[in-house]
This record gives sequence, structure tokens and C-alpha cells, in this order.
Amino acid sequence: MAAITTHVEAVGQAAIRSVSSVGRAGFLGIDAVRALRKVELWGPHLIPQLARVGVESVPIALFIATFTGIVLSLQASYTFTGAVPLYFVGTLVGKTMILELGPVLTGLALSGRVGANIAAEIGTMRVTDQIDALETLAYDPVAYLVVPRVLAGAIMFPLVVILANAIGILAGWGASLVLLDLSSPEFLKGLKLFFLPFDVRFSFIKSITFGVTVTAVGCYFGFHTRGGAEGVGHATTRAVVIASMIILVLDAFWAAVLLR
Amino acid sequence: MSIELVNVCKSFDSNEVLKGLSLTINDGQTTTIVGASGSGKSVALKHIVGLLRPDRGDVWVDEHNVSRLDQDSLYRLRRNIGYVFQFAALFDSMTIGENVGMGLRRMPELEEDEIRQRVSECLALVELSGYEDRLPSQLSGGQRKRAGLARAIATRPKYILYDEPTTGLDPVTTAVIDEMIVRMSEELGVTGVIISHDMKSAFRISDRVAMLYEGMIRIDGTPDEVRASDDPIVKGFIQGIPELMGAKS
Amino acid sequence: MNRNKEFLVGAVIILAIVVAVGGTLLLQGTNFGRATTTVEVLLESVGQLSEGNPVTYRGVRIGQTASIDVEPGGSAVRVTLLLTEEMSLPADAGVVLGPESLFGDWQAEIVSRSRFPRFAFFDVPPGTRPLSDEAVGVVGGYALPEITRLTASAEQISVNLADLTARMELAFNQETADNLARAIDNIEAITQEVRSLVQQQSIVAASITASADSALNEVELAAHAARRSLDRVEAFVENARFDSIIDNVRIASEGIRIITAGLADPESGLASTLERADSAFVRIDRITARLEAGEGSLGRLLLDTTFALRAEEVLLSFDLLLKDVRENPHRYVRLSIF
Ligand SMILES: Nc1ncnc2c1ncn2[C@@H]1O[C@H](COP(=O)(O)OP(=O)(O)OP(=O)(O)O)[C@@H](O)[C@H]1O
Ligand SMILES: [Mg+2]
Repeated sequence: MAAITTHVEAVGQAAIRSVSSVGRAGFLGIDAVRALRKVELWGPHLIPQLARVGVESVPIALFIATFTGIVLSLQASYTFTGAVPLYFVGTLVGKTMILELGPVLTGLALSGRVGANIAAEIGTMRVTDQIDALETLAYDPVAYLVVPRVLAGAIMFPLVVILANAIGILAGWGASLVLLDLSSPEFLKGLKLFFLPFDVRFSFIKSITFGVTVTAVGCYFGFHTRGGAEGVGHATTRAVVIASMIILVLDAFWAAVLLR
Repeated sequence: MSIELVNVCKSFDSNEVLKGLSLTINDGQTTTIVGASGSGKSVALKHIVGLLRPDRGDVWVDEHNVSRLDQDSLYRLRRNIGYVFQFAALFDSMTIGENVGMGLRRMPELEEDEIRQRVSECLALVELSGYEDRLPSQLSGGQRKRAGLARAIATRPKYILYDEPTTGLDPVTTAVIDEMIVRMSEELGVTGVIISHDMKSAFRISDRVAMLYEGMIRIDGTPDEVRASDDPIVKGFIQGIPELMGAKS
Repeated sequence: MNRNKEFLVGAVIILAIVVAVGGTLLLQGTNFGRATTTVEVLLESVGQLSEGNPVTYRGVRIGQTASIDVEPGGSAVRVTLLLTEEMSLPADAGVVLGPESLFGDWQAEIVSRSRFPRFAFFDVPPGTRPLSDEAVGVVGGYALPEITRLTASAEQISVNLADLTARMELAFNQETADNLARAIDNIEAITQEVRSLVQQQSIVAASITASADSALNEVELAAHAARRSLDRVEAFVENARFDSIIDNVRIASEGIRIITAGLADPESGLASTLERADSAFVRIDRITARLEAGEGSLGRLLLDTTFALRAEEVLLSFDLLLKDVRENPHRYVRLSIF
């Protein structure tokens, strides 16, 4: 009986915890929107954050995209086994890269790179009272820390993803020229065959939400870090795990909403 | 114009830290709060700047109820308050100069030159002249603490809250800091709230001394009154005789 | 340091925007600053054509479909074609919309109408003006019937045929003879249509097309021959109705002789017709079997989307009917005569 009570309590506590963390995230979101008007606080930090979230993520994103593109083209040709015309390799590489793998793989990689980084940074500031220090110096920490990071995520993420898409397609093209018996005009024919400008918009919209997710989740876990270095480590891990999960859910959400 | 804590209660989960703390801090005076480690001194101090909100009770600063203020008014109020953190809380991505200048950059009337001027003045006050371009990680614990002090006084606030400003410093630097606190109060009319474990300097530099014990103010009076108290808890604490305290509680 | 950062951020932003815009335009097939000719086409319907699909002339890609709009009032669809070359249209220009391959992508081909007399090009009312000033003219177009629609009617016929076969086992009278004749008419039309479709569309699977084409050819011949025989049967039926049986015993027996001779003679008549039809069915069987067995995704794709499967059904029913005629010729002949 006691054991059952404990389990029930545990479920109740977990429920309260998750509801309250959703609530806290909501408050942080409202604060962040309100903090948008304090341009003097976040403005000066936008460029460094753009550089950090965007520029410094370009190499890893392009690295991932390159190999994804190569694998896609090889897998496509393997699957078609000579029955479907080989130029469909171009279609598959282009569509898959732009619609799915470009945004999602970049999102997952950057949740590790950017999200963890932000969570660790803000978490350390939290446990060493630096966030309180900002408060006492009349700096709104949400405007000062959260807004530039999330904005940078929303702005730079889609741009990084576009570059990743392009590199992925180029890599797939190169691979099909070198490793498969496919000519450039054929690859391009396949690439253009079912291409819609909407695909690029879809990729763009998706990446904006991924960028906001990764940075906002990093900020959230950083802000609510407790308990020293261990707490920072915990916050970092949670930020990566939760951001990745949200990215995958959002991915399905956008597919369901925008791809009919 | 003063700081007033009225019946403040605060607990963290099941840990009741403040259980109805009431304390008035008069303008222009220097008040030292003493108390055992973990008794909630830092928590009390954080309530004054609104870093923590009381579960019950009110905190008044300059006739403003801190816990009811909206965000903008709270930030405006905070410009009048300097806070020295127990562990300095320097921004470790910035140089010492930038750290000290942080509060000043929120004051639009100041030119860049004036800011630089003020920063070096404040660093000189805490004996850190020429450290502007160092990073916090390149400083010792005591130096960091002094840099934190410089940051808090840089904006020349009306109130300065010191969380253990001299703990861990050598006797000479301690004396310098004490001297500085006294000068701030006498020359600039700053109202100071100090948390300290150093009873000797507390009695020397304070106008009033308050002791926090089990979430409430056990005694609040002039140094002489506190010294003369025959409350065994107070006596035991200031003379460092745990047996006296244990006998009563 | 900070300047450097700003430069890098700016570079990434500009690069990404250039890639996004440039890539989109490139993949959409936009022509950067090349001379263009605009042609407007009026049609009944556009089938599967969509914006961005290629425009060809004598098999060469010369532009793309720019826009597709229903005309005010809904009487027609206006398709605007953007050609990369400066070109003048043939005098009797028409535009045929049809699949570029079996995989769903369509194209608009500019043709001279005289090459396709069978196609019902849209009649552009004289004096119709192009909407855009740049357009060189308004021409009528024709969208090839979609294979799915064709197979639907073929299926209908196969159902009719199966029904007919069942009824024929019970009785073979004037009405069934008429129906049979009509069904064969239909099958002829269908094979004609499928064949012309196959001929006039550039289908990637060339070899399959070729054998399907020749098989259909033979089916068509078979249907022809079958109808000839039936005509003869009908003639006897007519005679039997207007003259008394006794008066026409001679004619009737002559008819029987011709029919049975036709059936028995391996060189000509119904028997050879049936044989030829047989070989056509065998061929079609072979094709579908091959598609079904070995060719993986393509085979499945074809089976699902093309005429192969449907045609096979039609022909199977037809086959059953012919088989029955061959096995029990006397049944049909006798019934129709008496
Ligand atoms: N943010 C917090 N979350 C949970 N518990 C806290 C928090 N801040 C303080 N506490 C708890 O409140 C109690 C009082 O802490 P506080 O820091 O005020 O002690 P203190 O009197 O300043 O001690 P010291 O002299 O060692 O600095 C401690 O038990 C501490 O664990
Ligand atoms: Mg403390």
C-alpha cells in the first residue's frame, strides 16, 4: 500500500514539475517578448551572437551536409537498382536535403553545439550569481542574455541551413558524377523535376523554428540551473536532449501542417 | 527614506529560512547584520534589491514596496542600490574595467571618458589601480572581491549592500575596506548594510548591529547596546562561545 | 576582432541569401536575361501540366510553362509559354500537352497541326488577342487523354465483354450479335487510341513501348478480322429474318459452309484471326509478366499507373470470348442462323 502511495506521489510530483517547467518556460517567453523593446540592452550583443550561432556553426553544418549529400546519392542509386531512371537520384537528393535532412541534421548538430554552449554559459552565470549581478546593475538579464541569443538563432539558423542544403546537393551531385554513372545534365534534370520554390520556404520556416528552439531551450535550462558545476552539467545535457526532442516533434508538426 | 523589512517570511521548498524578519535600516547609517553561517543573511539582503521575493511580508525601499514593483520601476530603484556579492559575481567574459563600468554604462549622461575616469577611481579605492584590462580569472579571490566592491560603488548609489566585503582578505586590506565603507557613509551619506562575520570591525564601523537568528532579528541596536546584551544567544555569538547558545536553544 | 566578426556575419548572411534566391531561380529554370518569346495557348483542359514544365519543339527543349489560368467565364484554360529563343511559330501551330515520361512530368510540345489530324485542338475564335503584349500569338492546344482515363473506359469495355460472354453462353441472338459488334468496335477504337497515344508520347521505356505497340497492332487486326466474320454472321441473321428458312436453306447452308470453312481454314478467316489474336495476347502476357517479375519498382509503377494491366484485362475477356467462339463455333453460328 505504502509502495503504491509512493508511486502515485511520484507521478503527481512529476506532473507538477513538468507543468511548472512549462509555466516557467512560458514566463521566460513572455519576458523575452517584453524585453524586445529594450534594444539598448540586446542590440550591442546581437552581432557577437550572430557570429557565434551563425558563423561558427557553418563548418560543422557544411561538414554534415557534405557527407549526407554523398550518402543520399549513393543510397538513391542503390535503391533504384536500375529500374527507376538514374536521374531520380537528383530528385531524391534535392528533395530530401532541402525538405528534411538539411534542417533536421543541422538542427540536431547545433542543439549540441549551440544549445549546450548557451546552457553552460548562462548556467555558469546563474550559479556564480552573475545573473543576479546583472539584475542589481539594472540590466534585465532576459533582454541582455536571452533576446540576442534567440534572435541570433532565428536569424542565422535558416541561413546556415540554406548553405547546408546547397552544399549537400553539390556533394550529392559530385558523388553521382564520380561514383555513379550519371551525367550533370541528368542529375540537374532530376533535381529540377519536382523542385518547387515552396520547398525552400518550407526549409526556411522549419529552420527558423529550430533556431529559436535550440537557443531558447539552451537559455531556459541555463536560467534555471541550480547547484554549482554539477547543476551546469545537468542543465547542458537536458538542454541538448530536450532541444533535440522538440526539433523532431516540430519536424513532424511542420510536415503535417505544411505538407498537407 | 529608508529600508524597511516587515515580517518577511521566505522558505525554499521545505527549508524555512526567514520566519518573520523585521528590520529598519535608517538613512545615512551603516548597519551590520551578523549571524551564523546559513542563517539567511544573504537571503535577507537579496530581498532588499528584489532578487528574491518574500513569501509573506513586505520590503520597503524609499517608500516603494519592492515585491510589488513592476519590472521597470524595480530596475529604476536598483540604480540607487549597489550590491556587493559574497563571491564577487564578476562577469567573467569581461575585463575588470568593463565589469566596474557596467553600472555606469546604464547612465546615459556619462561620456566614455568620464566612465573610464570613474572606473579607475573606484579601482584605486579598492587598491586595484591598473587592473582594468585583466580578466576576473586572472585575479585572486580577494582581488575579485574588491573588484566586485568597486563595481557596486561605481555608480555612487544611495544604498550599498555589502555581503561579506572583507571575509577572506588580509588584515591590512580589511582595514582599508573598512575605512572606505566609513568614508562612503560619512562623506557621501551612503546608507550601508553590511553582512560580516568580523565582530570587531562590525562594532567599529557600524551605527547599528543586528543579529539574525533562526529566521528572525534577535537583537538590533547600537554596538554598545549589542555588546551589553545579556541574551545568552547574542553573548555566545559575539564572544564565540557555542555552549552559551546551545544552553538556551 | 569585432570588425572581423561583423564582416563574417555579413558574409554568411549575403552568401546564404544569394544561394537561396539564386538556387531557387536556377532550379525553377528561370532564364537570366535571355531573349524570350511568349506564346499563349487556349485549351479545354491541361491534364497534368503545371507551371515550370518544359516546352519542346521537335523534341528540343526550348522553354517552360510560365502560367496556367482559367479564362474568365471558365470556357477554357489559358497557358502562357515562355520560350528562350526568338522564334516564329509554324503556320498551323498547335500545342500538344502530354507526359514527358511515364513518371508524371508533363510537357507542352509545339507542333504543326497537320501532323496530328486526329487531335481535337481547341478552336481559338478568330480575332482572339493575347493578354500580354509580348505574346506572339494565341494558339489552340490539345491535352492528350490521360492514361488513367483511357484505362477506365477500357475497364468498362472489359466488364461489358465479360457480361456479354456470360450471356452468349445462354443465347446468341440479334441483340447479342449487335452488342458484340459494338464491343468490337469499341475495342478497335480503344486499341487505336492507345496505339496513337503510345506512338505520340515519348516514353522512356522504349523497348516496352515497341512491343506494346506491335502487340496492339495485332490486336487491332484481330478485332478487324473478328468484325468481318461477325458481319458475315449478321448478314445471315438478317437474311434469316426476312426470308423464310426453307426458301433460304441454300443460302443458309452456303453461309454455314463459309463460316465453318473460315473456322477450319488455317490460312485465313476466323481461325487465323484467333491465332493472331492469341499471339498478341501471348505477347502482352509476356510484357506484363516481365514487368511483374523482374523489374522491381518500375514494374510495379507501370502496373499501377499504365495501361498494361488494364489492357491485359480487356484482352483477357476478349480472349475468353474468342476462345469460346473457337471451341464451340457451331453454337454461335447455329444460333445466329436459326
Ligand atoms: N536560491 C536558493 N535556493 C534554495 N535554498 C537557498 C537559496 N539561497 C539560500 N538558500 C538556503 O537558505 C539558507 C540561508 O542561506 P544564506 O545564503 O542566506 O546563508 P548566510 O546566512 O548568507 O550564510 P553565510 O554566512 O555562509 O553566507 C541556506 O540553508 C541555503 O541553503
Ligand atoms: Mg551569505
